[in-house]
Amino acid sequence: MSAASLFWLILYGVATLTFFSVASVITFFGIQDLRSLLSKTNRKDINKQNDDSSNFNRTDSRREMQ
Amino acid sequence: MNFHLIDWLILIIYLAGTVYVGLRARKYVENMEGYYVAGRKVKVALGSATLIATEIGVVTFMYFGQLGFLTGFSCFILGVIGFLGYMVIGKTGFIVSGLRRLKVITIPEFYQLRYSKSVRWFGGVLLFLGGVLNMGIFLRFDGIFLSEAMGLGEQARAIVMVIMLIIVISYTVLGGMFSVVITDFIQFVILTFGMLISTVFVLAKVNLNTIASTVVQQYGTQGLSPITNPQFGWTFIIWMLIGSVAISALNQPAVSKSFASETPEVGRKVFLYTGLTLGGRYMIPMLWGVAALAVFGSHINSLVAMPRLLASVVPSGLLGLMVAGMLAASMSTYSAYLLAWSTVATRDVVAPLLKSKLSDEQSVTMTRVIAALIGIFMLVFGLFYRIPSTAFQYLAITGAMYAAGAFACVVAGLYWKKANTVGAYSGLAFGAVAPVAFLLLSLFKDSLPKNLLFLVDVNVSGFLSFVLAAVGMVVGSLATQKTHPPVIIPEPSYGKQLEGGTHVSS
Repeated sequence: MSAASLFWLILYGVATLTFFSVASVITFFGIQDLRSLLSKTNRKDINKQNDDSSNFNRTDSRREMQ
Repeated sequence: MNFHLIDWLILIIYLAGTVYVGLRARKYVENMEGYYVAGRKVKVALGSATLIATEIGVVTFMYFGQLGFLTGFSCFILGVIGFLGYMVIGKTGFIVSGLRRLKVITIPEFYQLRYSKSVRWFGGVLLFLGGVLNMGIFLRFDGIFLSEAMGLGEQARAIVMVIMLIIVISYTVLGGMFSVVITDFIQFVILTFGMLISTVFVLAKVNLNTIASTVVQQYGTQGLSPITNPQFGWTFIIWMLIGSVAISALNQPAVSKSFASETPEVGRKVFLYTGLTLGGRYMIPMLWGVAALAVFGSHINSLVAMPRLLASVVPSGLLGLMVAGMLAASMSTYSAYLLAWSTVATRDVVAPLLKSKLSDEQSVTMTRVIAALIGIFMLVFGLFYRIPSTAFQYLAITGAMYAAGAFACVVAGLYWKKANTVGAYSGLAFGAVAPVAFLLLSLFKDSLPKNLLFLVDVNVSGFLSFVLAAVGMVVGSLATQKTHPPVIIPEPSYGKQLEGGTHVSS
């Protein structure tokens, strides 16, 4: 096997191991993030913020129309 | 047929589960921001999972597998370049943090803040056209992959394409970004498992020594060096170095994951962690392609070689899981792309033309209709269009069509005070010229005079698009500073600018 082939194969090995390692970590913490996103408390926060934002935009659009 | 009862069962359970979860996500959508950016509450790990899932589809496996088959190890350079591109963004927050801070939902919204409403419309049209053309071939590649991997044959491709489309449209259209994020996460886990299974069985079938010697036998030094390989060369490498940053940061489906993140800092980290997986995401399917070359030789069709290899090495039972993983990859890509481009079409192309402002409900309904229309376009385009180069290069050139101009406008808009409206128009138009010329002239390649043949060299065309866009932005801005003074965006946020009643109106 030539040095160039060996270089690419080592790079492939490192990239592949990194991919599956990071994917495992992301899966573990992603489950917690998903729970947090879908939790009722968080949803209430989102909706409250967005209601404020929607009111805000509506005020602005009324001003534009005037 | 390679598929057995157990494989079908696994596949059907997976598909039914995905649609069920995707549809259930509708209940979380209670307003416009919930639909478009999941309420901007996505954290790092979930954001990274959805971004990775978005950026990996069957089409990715297909074009990287094809590149591995046709160019050997030399295409691995793309993995290195992609990694570097994401690292630049992930480490510095280049572009994505600035856009997230402004709380835009689409990239053209930034054009309106920094330039003008008409620049937003023009940029929106280019972004939409380039994006949809880019996405146009996805379904075709999925059809090829699935019909080969499942052993259904060529005649089943159209049916496979239609079924996939219906499934993805059903939950994307109804559930918006919430559906996309939830299903992307599930799909991320399954596709990672599918990639692991495939890699293990491919390497068990073909050892690395055989793969390495096949590359040298088939391609000599061209299979090992991206500089000497005629598919690549320096022009391609420089184009990709610029393009990897530009397309990564300004690809609406990808950057919308940053827009959906909790804070600009989270948006930056999402790119950082995704970047760590980039090398693997590129090189894993590339090696499958090289392994297919070692197994089948060079006389087989370069597109079908890789899926045929996977179908032959992965045993029944696991084959169903592998195909579910590949389907998962595709569905997450489609859902994110459909949502992103339909959002751009609604908010940046159609809405600015209307006399009255769209209500939140009308905006979401229009997005859903456009998403369904894009799906139909994909089906027709996928069935009839013949791509003028390798799949990877087609995607890169259609990506450059919008990314080159967008890169000039957004980078100059965020980091250069003298950027103005004329510069933005010039940058967007000049950036699109070379890719459009390439796509049109490729149809008449044989009748072109010799001195214009460089226009149908995909690498020259892609590189030129970024140079022209930058020149257009700089010259256009500097030449018209007095007639078109630049607009400076007041800090700190988009919402507050609206409140302040500046020139910005939506």
